[in-house]
Amino acid sequence: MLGAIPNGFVFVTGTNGKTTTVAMLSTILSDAGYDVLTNRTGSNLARGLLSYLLERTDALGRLRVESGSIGVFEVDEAALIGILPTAVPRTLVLTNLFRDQLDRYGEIDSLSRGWVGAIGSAGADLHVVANADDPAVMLTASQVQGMTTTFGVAGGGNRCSPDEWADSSSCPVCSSRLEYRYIAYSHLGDYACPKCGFTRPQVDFEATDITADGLSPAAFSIGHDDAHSQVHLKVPGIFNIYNALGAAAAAATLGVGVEDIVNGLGRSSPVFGRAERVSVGEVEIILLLAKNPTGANEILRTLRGISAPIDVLMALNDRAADGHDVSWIWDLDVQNLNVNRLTATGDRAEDLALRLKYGGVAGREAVTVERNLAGAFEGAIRRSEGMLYVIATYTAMLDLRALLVRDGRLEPYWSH
Amino acid sequence: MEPLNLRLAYLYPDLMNIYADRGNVECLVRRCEWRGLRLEVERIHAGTEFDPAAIDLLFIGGGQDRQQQAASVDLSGRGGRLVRQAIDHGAVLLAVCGGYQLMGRRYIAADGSVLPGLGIFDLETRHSGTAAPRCIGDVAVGWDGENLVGFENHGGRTYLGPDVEPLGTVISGYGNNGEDGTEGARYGRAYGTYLHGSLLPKNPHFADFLLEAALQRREPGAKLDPLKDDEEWAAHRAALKKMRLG
Repeated sequence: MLGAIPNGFVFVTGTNGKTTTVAMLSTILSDAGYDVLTNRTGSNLARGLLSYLLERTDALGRLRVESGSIGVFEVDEAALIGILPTAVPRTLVLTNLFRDQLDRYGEIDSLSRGWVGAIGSAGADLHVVANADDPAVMLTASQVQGMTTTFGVAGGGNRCSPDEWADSSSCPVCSSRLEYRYIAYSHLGDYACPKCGFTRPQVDFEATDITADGLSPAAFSIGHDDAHSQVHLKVPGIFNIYNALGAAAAAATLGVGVEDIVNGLGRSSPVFGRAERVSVGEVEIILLLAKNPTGANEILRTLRGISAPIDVLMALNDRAADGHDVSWIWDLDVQNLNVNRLTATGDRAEDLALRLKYGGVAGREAVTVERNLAGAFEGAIRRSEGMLYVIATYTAMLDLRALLVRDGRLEPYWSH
Repeated sequence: MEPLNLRLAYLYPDLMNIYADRGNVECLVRRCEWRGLRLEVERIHAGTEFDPAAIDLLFIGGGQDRQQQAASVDLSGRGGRLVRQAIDHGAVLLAVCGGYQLMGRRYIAADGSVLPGLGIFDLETRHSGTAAPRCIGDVAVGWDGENLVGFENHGGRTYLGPDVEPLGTVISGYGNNGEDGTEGARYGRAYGTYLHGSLLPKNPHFADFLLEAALQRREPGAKLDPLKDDEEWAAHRAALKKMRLG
């Protein structure tokens, strides 16, 4: 069915950043004049992709397309292995590989082996856009038969040893401890294996002059072919700079010019729970989706950058889409979070409260534990002094947004 | 009087780190701190030297297959000798999941290849390949007249030999192999288990049991002061309730 799209289609896969990368690439391509078909809001499993396509199908089972149609689809990192043999995109973007829901995805290594097999069988017409700063991704990219375009961050930080919870600090080829010249976050950075020589490759799209402080919109200079252009995003954080680089590199593989890319990136708004802002009366709520330790720790790092004590609501669910195992919260760097009032909620509120206790977050009287999401949310808003940071797992975020929509309170701060 | 310093050797924190088992180390450190004791954590990487006689507690967590192999290589040489000497000097060991498997006699992979273990526990672990479902889910275990709760996720199935006792009996979940009702292993002051969660924060009685054993190595008969464990037991009870046991 995808073969009917006149200008072909792009897949975006990886652990984190899929939805935002798809949104950024879609904006760029719309601005460049394409009619973009896309699966929004995390409906990224094979099933979600199919149901989206069926919605766009006429009575004869034909996909409704125009001459300017192009597809940009988010594909689940595990589902990719089954999808790729039957649907080969023009361009495949590999964002990153982090540990995520071990009960569903298994280990990073087995996922990356699956990718290697699937991509190896996809043929030489597939153009792969790969995150050069992720050793696990680059192991996969080394198997690509066709073209590869890489992206990465230059000197993205002053740290050069990975956090203890980082997943992939050993060489994917020979298992030796990787040496880093710097780390942007988690295991992403400029790595080299001292033993077998596996190393970060030449980077085609590189970010320099980075500004990514707290929840302020990030900015950077994008370098390609010795030319540099300034990019101002609407979203915060170093991880969104990676998403922007992936979208930019993918757009370039489709022939979009630098000016359109830079403009599109500057216009792309935050998507579902990615630093979305909502006003409820006097309180401004910032929705921060946290699906795995890497994503959650980047959010916590961002919040530590705010100088005044903050009001926080954390919601932990353990349903199928969240992962049944909540062990990962013990990999969260909750220490040194400067909290005024904190509410712990969700199906596993008690586990969250316990993790916060051992992490030494605030005085314990400042922590409210309430399993019921709606009640906890109401209370947190009532107690908040102007700004409420909401960190939630996927199904908890769905429910919280549904509450805001139900009450007609979802007033996006940035226009969509 | 100087506060007593206990020392914990955290084995291969960069390799055996996949299920956030480091929450166990954080738990032990805090529970000492709250009692005016100090628990110093020494991170032992492959090739790191340490004085085995100075170690009161050893901890090793779960890892991915490839990292587990790297840890196994170090354990089969000098690293393993040091761990064994520490245990001979009376150190208390807690080994979780992959780390637990490594402390057995051997691990037989799906392709029949054998990974030798350190042999602290008389047990072997077999992986029957991707055809056999992994043991995944919430787990409750009867231990010493009380319950331990956690989450398990392992492909290998562990079978105990005659020279080791199980840590406990499975009330809900799979445990060692999903067949014989045993979970984990204990031999002397060494304890192995499949329970993540992390295990110790929501099983404070087991955390204190391990700490007290380590403390008594320094001061025979020493007792730990009780702590107010409201949050710990709330999480423990919530886990039991989720398994319809509470």
